[in-house]
Amino acid sequence: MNVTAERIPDSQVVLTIEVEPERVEQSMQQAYRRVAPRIRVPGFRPGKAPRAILERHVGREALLHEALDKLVPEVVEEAIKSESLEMVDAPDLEITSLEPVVIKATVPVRPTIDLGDYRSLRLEAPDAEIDEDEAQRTLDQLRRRNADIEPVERPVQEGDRVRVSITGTVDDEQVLTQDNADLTVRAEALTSVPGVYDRLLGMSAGELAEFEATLPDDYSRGDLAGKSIHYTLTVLDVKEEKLPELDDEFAKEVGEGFDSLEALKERIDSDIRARADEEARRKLQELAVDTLVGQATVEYPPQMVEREIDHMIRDITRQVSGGADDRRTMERFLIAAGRSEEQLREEFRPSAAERVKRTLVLSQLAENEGISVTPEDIEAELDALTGPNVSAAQVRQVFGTAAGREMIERNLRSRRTLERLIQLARGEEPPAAGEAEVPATDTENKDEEAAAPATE
Amino acid sequence: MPKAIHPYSVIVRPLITEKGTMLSEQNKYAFQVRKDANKLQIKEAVELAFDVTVLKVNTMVMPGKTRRVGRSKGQTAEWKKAVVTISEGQRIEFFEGV
Repeated sequence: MNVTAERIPDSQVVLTIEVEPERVEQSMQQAYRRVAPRIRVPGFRPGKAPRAILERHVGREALLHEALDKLVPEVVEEAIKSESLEMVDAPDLEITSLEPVVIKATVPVRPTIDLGDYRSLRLEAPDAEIDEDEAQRTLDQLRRRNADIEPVERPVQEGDRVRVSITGTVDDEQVLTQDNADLTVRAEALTSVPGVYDRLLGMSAGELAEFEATLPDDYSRGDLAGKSIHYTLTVLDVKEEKLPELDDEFAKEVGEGFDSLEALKERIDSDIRARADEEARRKLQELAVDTLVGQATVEYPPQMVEREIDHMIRDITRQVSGGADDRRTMERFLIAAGRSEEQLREEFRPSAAERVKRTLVLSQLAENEGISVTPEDIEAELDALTGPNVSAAQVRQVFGTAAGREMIERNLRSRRTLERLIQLARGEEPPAAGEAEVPATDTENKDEEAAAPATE
Repeated sequence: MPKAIHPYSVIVRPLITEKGTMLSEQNKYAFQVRKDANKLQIKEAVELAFDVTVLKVNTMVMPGKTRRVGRSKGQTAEWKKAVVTISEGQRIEFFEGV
């Protein structure tokens, strides 16, 4: 077997394999034995025709192809081994010549990933954005939730709660009838009944009004949009929302054990801050990943993108068919979406390529940084999932399977990787790559310590 | 005195069958021949066509088989089979190039 290997771009290696005639002959003999019982040659019972006669009958070519079906994968596998290639997907095979047999195999190999100088990656952490009004809004909401509702003897004002009976007629058809409806008199709360808000203001309990209003063109019920509606509206009673005073008393009423207004405010502030910090952190993480992916040089075989597209399509199929991996649903979906599967694949290609690149870059980062997940870590994670409502046994039943553990491991790994990336981006001195795992670093550190006083 | 027939018209076809291939191991080869050919003519024809020495010719008339299509009965034609023994060490290749 004569093999030449040539590396071509996109992490592929082209192997040109020439197979010795003896080997081909041997393979043909095997092929003859394989196919003979299935072939009927006149004058012979199936399987009894000698090879020469069978070959005459089906043609040498046919037998050779039969032989190659088996021979090619065998030979290619041997060649890959002898060239010690790390194959990541099925190779593309092409038979370039039959006499002698020459096979051209394009083998996708392990991607090469160069992260560049990622350790000196420094990024400005985006500031946590805090909306000053948010605390006030939260407080107002709490006040409204704890408001006392008291009946009042006065015309309706903004913010009141009123009980009304209302009917609406469009083109002699009753589209709305409600007795004893509770409404909050606020413009944004009454958008479903246009015109009512304006009219309500100033009405008193027991008062009746009949009036016309025009439904907006973008009304939620499309068939009524733009039409004129005739309302009859009776105000049954008027109540006022009495917002509680902002004091320690109010804070106690909110519950959750606040004993002063100050404590409540602090809690609201800290919640908002925590959310903003989380948001900022997420932004930094996104930015860091984007930058890292941007500066990395990644070369990967095109098959990986195709695989990723396969995955994406399977996900979609599962989504549209509600769990099952159902071909027919997918076809119907494609028809509804008005495109062929090829078009869909084409549309997915850019994002699939992006995803492949990201995955590769992050896994390389994890490797470089020696990020690992031990079985103990997984156990700890499983324990962490246990909560007041979930027993350890339940958690283990769901996630204790091999697949579940693998999922947790993946999650944990990617979380730690991103964590490390953020440390790097923030310029926090992260431990040297693999310190936790490689005890050798310890001695290095000691050497440094020992060296330091000497230079002084 | 049999009719004179040209040697080339004696042999109709070689019988390439399981039995035929088995016979070839004993230097015997089977042919379908003209029904009116005699052993001497067969010998001459085989020696001429395959360039071998014929030691012995056995012939037999294979009876036709009854065939029926619907109601009508029929008979396939009788034909003459010849098993020719050639001298040791010689061979007949029925196909060129195999």
